[in-house]
Amino acid sequence: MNKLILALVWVVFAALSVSAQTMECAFTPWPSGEAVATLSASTAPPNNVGQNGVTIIGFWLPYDCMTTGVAFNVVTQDANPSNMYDIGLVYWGNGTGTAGQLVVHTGALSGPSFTPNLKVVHLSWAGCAQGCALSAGIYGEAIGTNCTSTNPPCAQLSGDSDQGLIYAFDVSNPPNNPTWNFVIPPNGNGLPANFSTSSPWPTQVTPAAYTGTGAGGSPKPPTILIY
Amino acid sequence: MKIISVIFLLVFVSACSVSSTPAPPPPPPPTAPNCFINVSWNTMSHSYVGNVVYPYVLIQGGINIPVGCYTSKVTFLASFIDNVSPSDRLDIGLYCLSGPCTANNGANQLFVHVGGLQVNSGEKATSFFPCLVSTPTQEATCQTGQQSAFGTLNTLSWTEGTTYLPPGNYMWAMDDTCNPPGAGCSQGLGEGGTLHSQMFPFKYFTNATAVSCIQQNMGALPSSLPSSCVGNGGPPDNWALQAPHIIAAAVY
Repeated sequence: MNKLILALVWVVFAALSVSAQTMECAFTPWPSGEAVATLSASTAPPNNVGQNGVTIIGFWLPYDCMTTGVAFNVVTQDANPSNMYDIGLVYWGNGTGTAGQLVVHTGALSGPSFTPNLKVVHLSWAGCAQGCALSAGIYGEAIGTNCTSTNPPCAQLSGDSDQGLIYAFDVSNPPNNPTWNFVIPPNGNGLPANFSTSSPWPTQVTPAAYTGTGAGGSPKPPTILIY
Repeated sequence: MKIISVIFLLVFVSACSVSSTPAPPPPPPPTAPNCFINVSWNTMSHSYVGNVVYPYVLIQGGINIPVGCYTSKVTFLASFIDNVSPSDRLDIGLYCLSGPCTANNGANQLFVHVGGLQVNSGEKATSFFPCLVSTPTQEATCQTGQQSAFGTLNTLSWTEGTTYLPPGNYMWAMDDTCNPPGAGCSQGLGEGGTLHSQMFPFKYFTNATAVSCIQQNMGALPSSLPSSCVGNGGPPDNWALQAPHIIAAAVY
């Protein structure tokens, strides 16, 4: 009888522990990767992502999950070690996080480290070897770079298709803000100081879409897998 | 010790029995998030808002909403504003197909729609395509229905107001009374093209020669769909990659 009791206790606790685990992330904010996203601080053309150093594009993560890294497909490598890139996720709202806070990022990486080859690249989030928790909510895919070169071009990744999905928001640094790299809190909110939570950080969902390469074009996000 | 054993057994048995009993419909949690869901991607394909043949409703299934959420609006990419008649009416909305969203009223129930709006009534609140341009010249052009609104984001509110969408599989539906159908009728930008169409579990396109799921209507989506209209019990009229195509829209 004691064995039966122990077995039952084990079953109950095992069930409870399984239900308490948070699953691993396996999420693509924008599934189509048929176009090219250029990561550049230059605003010409206007659809570069990383304009004036930082662009953040919003998407909805509908469930809690644990993440260790990010993957993307490299279209054009950047061999210049002076060009730097950082990619991360910023919590916006609609959940239990802290609005405007950088949750994970790769850390600043040189061109050769960010785009080591012409295939799918996997990068770990800094400090997330054991997994970092993402609570459900609206996040921004944050791209930071100091690259402004045109020949050879800055790094290019497979991106959302032309026109593409509709984003919860699509905002970039205002001009003349040289800071581009991210720092995980408690050092500020993680974003460059000039990218405050009041401007250009959106206070409400502001649907946006890539509208072309002419005037009014908005940055196009690279397609990423969060895992 | 026997009492403890009995208690454990009772807990275990009751847990098993609960798991095999259909759960009652959960009430909308007050802390549920707001949605932000794209119903399709957009590859610059010009997609009619519902019609090729009159009457005309396009139903596309396979929008999975994994957690319950609140929605009050929809934003889509416009492409071309109806220049056939300003009195034509259009509607877009979401039906529950399967899953927990069927708990209260069953499958194929309309949860949200914009409500059979005129192309452009002259009032923003009652127009499907309120004039979206910014200059007086463009405004005048838009009022006569000649303005292409290519790439313009168009935001409309659901007639139901802020609505809780329980988790489940949903269908996106588009409806347009524009007649004659085809050229000159309203379009949005969405998925489409030989290599760029999005794959959906099904697309069902009602028309005069197929099962007429929605008889002559006033341009508003009905509150429920006959089950025979949804997938038609077999292969859909138009398979996943074929036209007609879906406008890109975000539900939030």
